[in-house]
Formats: sequence, structure tokens, C-alpha cells
Amino acid sequence: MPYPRPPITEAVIEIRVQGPIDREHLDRVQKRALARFPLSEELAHVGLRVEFPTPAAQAKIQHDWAGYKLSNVDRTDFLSIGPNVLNVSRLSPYPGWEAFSLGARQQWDEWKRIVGHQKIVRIGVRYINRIDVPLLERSVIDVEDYLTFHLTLPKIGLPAMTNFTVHARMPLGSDDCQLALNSAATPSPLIGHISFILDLDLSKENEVPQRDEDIWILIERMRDHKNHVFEACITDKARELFSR
Amino acid sequence: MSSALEIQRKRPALEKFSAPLVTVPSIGISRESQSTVQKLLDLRMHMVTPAYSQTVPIGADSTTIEERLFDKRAALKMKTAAVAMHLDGEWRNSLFRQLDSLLDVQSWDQSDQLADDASFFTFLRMIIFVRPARRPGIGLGYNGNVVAAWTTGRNRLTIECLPRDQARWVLARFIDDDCERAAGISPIHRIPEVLAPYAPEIWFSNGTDKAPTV
Repeated sequence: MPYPRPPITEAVIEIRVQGPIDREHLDRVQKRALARFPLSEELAHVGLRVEFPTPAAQAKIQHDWAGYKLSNVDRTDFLSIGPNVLNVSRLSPYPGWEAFSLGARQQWDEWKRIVGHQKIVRIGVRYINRIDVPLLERSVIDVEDYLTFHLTLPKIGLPAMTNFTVHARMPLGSDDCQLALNSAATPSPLIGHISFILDLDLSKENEVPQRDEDIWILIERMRDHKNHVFEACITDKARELFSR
Repeated sequence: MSSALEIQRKRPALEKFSAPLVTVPSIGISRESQSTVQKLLDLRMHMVTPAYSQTVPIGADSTTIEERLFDKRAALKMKTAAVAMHLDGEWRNSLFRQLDSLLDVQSWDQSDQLADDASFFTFLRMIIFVRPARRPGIGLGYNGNVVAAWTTGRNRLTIECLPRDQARWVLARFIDDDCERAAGISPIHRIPEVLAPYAPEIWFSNGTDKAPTV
């Protein structure tokens, strides 16, 4: 169901390939993407390497080039490319699935045109939602009023929780996908509110489709599954908050 | 079974907003203890997303003023994204145009201070809380604090957004041709109350802009 003010803080479509793709090809992808994503930064994984020559050990900070992260000027649309990944993400405000997935598909087409065929090893669709709940005069809030995926404690006279984070991973039961669910309480960026994060990550790593048509049919289906799981994880009281 | 959550009234540090708070327990020496801690740390890393990725930008140290202004504009827009679902689209676009103009290299003086992130976050929180239908003019104080100003005829209201949800406000309000002046420092959640005696609708409601929604 499209909401007037969807609580999505970030939507992600990710395609991982076996790779590694060489730097020259990624540079070409980056240059082509600059038209839509003019802000570009190079990324590195930073590690510490300790060598043990005699007589003394030496520590060296090691930067491993990890690709590019590009974005539009408003810093809402991001494209991350690395030696084995293409990742498109969108921050709030969410423009709707059609616009988001179309943008992702355009980037994939461009990537494939330059990089050529690569074996796809994982396809992921992830949506991070933040549900901002007004506190009103309350000092305690019942999480189950808003989320159906949450933590429950035994009633043994413990005071209310002050924080929680829950993570679960399971097969989705459809399309041979995996589902990772996270929910957590977090300080709200709004005054007089508390926020709950509901993070849904669907992925497929077995028998991943390799043809473009099949890839995007799968991504569409993953989005439908995501919607189904999201709706099942929230209550009507939560829905009211972003339906107005 | 209980899923009651106690509300923490203490304002957390800026970087804690919207982030899952994973607390690492006392560290034991058994394999199981270390495995639990690692799982918690993994969980914290797992919830980081590509846009806020853990990889490090290469050459991220801005040196020229042009680069620093560019980075600041980008950082403030990223902060806005955290609350963009509560801002009307036109409000947000207008805010971005104001930021582009405010942090434009052509009009930048070397002695100006870049906008302070914490002050900008106070500004966003105040705007969504107060919900003025009329957009303010935005400027920067000498110390980089964001200053929001509304003027209607001779009536002026200026709010300097300080870090940690504080606001310094100054107003001049004409009622029956008598000018009242007032100033104060208040937490932003008290702004509606402290301005109420001066009928702030004259600044906030006298427009056609859509108010932020919560």
C-alpha cells in the first residue's frame, strides 16, 4: 500500500557478482554515472597490517581500494560500485518503487554494457524503515502496539526495557530467498518522539538468475515479499502514523 | 510477557539519532562470551547501510574553501534526509536552495564560519516541532550557528539555533503601534510557549507554504 509519508529511511537494490572487476572498467562505469550522480568519492577498506621482522614489529595502515560511492547533488540517490558489487540506494523522501527500481535498472544496464557479463552471486533488496512514535505524556511505551516483530520479556517484575535490538534470519519460504529482519529502538530525530527501526533485507544466493529479464522479475517479486513482510510486522497504530 | 519500553528523556549525542543502540556487555574470557560480543558488533555493522557505509572516502580531507563548502552542503543535505519524510517536498527543495545559496563559494567570505552540524540539526528539529507554515529566511551566525528569521512588516523574529536543542530568540512586535521587544534563550520544545504572548501566527501562519507534518 503506498503511504503518503512512507517511513522508509533507505531503500537498497544490490547485485553482487563473482568478480573481481578490474579498476579500468569500474573507472569507466564511474565516469558514465557522473551525469546522473555528479558527486563521487573513492572508497577504501582500511586495515592494520602488523609485520614481525626482527628485531621489532612494524604496524602499517593499509588502504585497499574498494570502489566508488556516487550521489546526486541532493544526497538522496546513491550508487556504490566495487570490484564485485553494484548497489543503488535511495534515502528519504522515497519516490516510490517505479522511480527507484527504474533508476536501479538503468545503472545495471549501464554497468553491464561496460563490464560485460559477470556471474551474479547474490541479489538483495533491503528497506530500512524508521517509525517515529509521539511520546505524548507517556513515560513507558508498549512496543507491541506498533511492531509485531519485537522482543518480549517474561513478566517477573523487571522494570521496562530501556533499549532493544532484535535480529533474526530465516528462509523466506518463497523464491528460495533469505530474509534478515532487524528491529530496534532508537533515539528519534524528532522532538517528543521515540523511533523504532524496522529493517528488512531479502536476498537470494542460490540459483541466482543470470538473465536480465529474470533478474528484474525476481527483484519485483522480492519487493512484493518485502511489502508483505513489512505489513505483517507493523500494527494499525503504526500505520496511522505515516498514513496522515 | 512484556514488551514495555521506558522512554529515555535524556537527549543523546547527535550521532546516536536513528542508530540502533547495541550495548557491548562485560567481556568474559570463554569462547561463548567472545562469540556473543562479536555477534553484537556484527549486528551493529550489519545495520549500517551503503549510503552510510563503513568504507572510508579516499582523500576526504578537504583543503580548499570550495571543497569544504561542497562537503558541508552535502553533509547538511544528508542530515535533512533523516527527517525528509516529515517535510513537504517544496519545503525541502526550498531549504536545499537556501543551503546552496548560503554555502556558495562566490558569496563566501574567508572569515565566515561553516554551518555547525549540531546547530543545523537543532534547526531541523525546531522546524518540524513548531511547524511554521511560512518558511524562514536562513543565515549563519558568526560562529556558524543557523539563524532563522521571519519578518512581517515591522514585526521581526530571529531565532539562532544553538547545539543541543537550544535557541536564542529576539523579537520586535508591534501591537497597537506600540513596539514590544523581547529576547531569551529557551529549549526549542518551549518555543511555542515563550512566543505565545506575542501572537507568533503573524510570522508562522502568514504564508501559503505547507507546514512540515508529523
